[in-house]
Amino acid sequence: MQVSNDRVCMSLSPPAHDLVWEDWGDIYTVYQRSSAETHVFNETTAFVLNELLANATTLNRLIDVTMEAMGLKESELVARDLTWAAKRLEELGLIELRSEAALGS
Amino acid sequence: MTVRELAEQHVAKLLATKGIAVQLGPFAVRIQSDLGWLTSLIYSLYSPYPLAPAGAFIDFHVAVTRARGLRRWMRPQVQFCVDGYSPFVPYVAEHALPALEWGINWCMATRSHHLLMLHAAGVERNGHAILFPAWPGHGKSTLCTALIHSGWRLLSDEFGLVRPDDGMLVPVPRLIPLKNESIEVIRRFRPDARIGPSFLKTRKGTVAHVQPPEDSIRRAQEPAQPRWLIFPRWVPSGSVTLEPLSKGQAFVMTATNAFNYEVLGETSFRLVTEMVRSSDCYTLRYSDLDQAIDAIDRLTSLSP
Repeated sequence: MQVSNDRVCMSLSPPAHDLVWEDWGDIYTVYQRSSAETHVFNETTAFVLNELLANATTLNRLIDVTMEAMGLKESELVARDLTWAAKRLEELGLIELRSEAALGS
Repeated sequence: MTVRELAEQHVAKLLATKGIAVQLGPFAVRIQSDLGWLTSLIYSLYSPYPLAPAGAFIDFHVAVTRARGLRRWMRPQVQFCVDGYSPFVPYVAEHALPALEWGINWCMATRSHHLLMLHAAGVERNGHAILFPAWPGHGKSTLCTALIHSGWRLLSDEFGLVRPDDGMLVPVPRLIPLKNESIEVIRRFRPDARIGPSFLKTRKGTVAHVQPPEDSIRRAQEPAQPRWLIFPRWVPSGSVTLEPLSKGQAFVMTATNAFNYEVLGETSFRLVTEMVRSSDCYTLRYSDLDQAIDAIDRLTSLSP
């Protein structure tokens, strides 16, 4: 059963608080000290991490905030892009995605 | 003191016994060989190289010797060894010099993690260096050879060695191995270039070694400040193009061209970042060496 974006909570994991960022204008290169990996992030991914620095949120709220901040209108594209970015960041160990059901248990 | 200041027979005797210690940039390499014909080649091509100072710490003890057993006589083979260990399968005996050169490359690539190592050629003029990061087949060695015969000093054709303390490039001006058609290209470009014999049917095709101009070898202890990052690519035809590259892209391309980026961790990230930040970055597409050199000369003479 697929969990809706409203029920997926996103938060930064501890390694995300120890990243070394370099802004090149079109992309960001980021050194992750916990894994010694270097990542290349686009503006969307960088925005997600920055938003989560402030506080945890759900994927839907993040989509809304992103659309507003970037002046975007195509919500389906934004949703797909952000969902992919979130999944990728979870794989890298930088964010945690938890369903509300899991939070409650 | 240089190799040529010793008599050839003395060099041959040293090679066959305790070895001869040669300074190759920052590395002192002791070379041994029991192959008489190889010693003549070494004497000839290594003649301007300095001997390592007496008592110097030897970084690599290497040897190219006859294989044991039947392969000593039947379709004879040679073995490259470092510190008594053979990291490679034997070579055909005729390929002893390429085996030595590739073996020393392997030693540097696997044992020099006190430096960031980029897979890049490097040249210097007037205190500023150009680095040419590129994977095999992109023409960097051929371009580098042409440049060092056109007023530039050789830093390296293969290893861009970066000092972590200050980001300076450490020269290692070794013999430059040209492959296949590049050999004839350079012979035509600079008929007076010192090129050794061609070795046919090696693991990388036909290979011949260019001895760098002696000035490059004499100045091997002078580091250089990187000023330009140029990513070259030889193409079969078309006019030369030298186009600015975004620094973000330059970072990615430089980092992926580093032999030991992961080994040095955050140091690598910082070094590549600083290098890209302080350099002008370009891609170069060329099919004609003269055009490529003109474009590079114009770029570097215009820049402050």
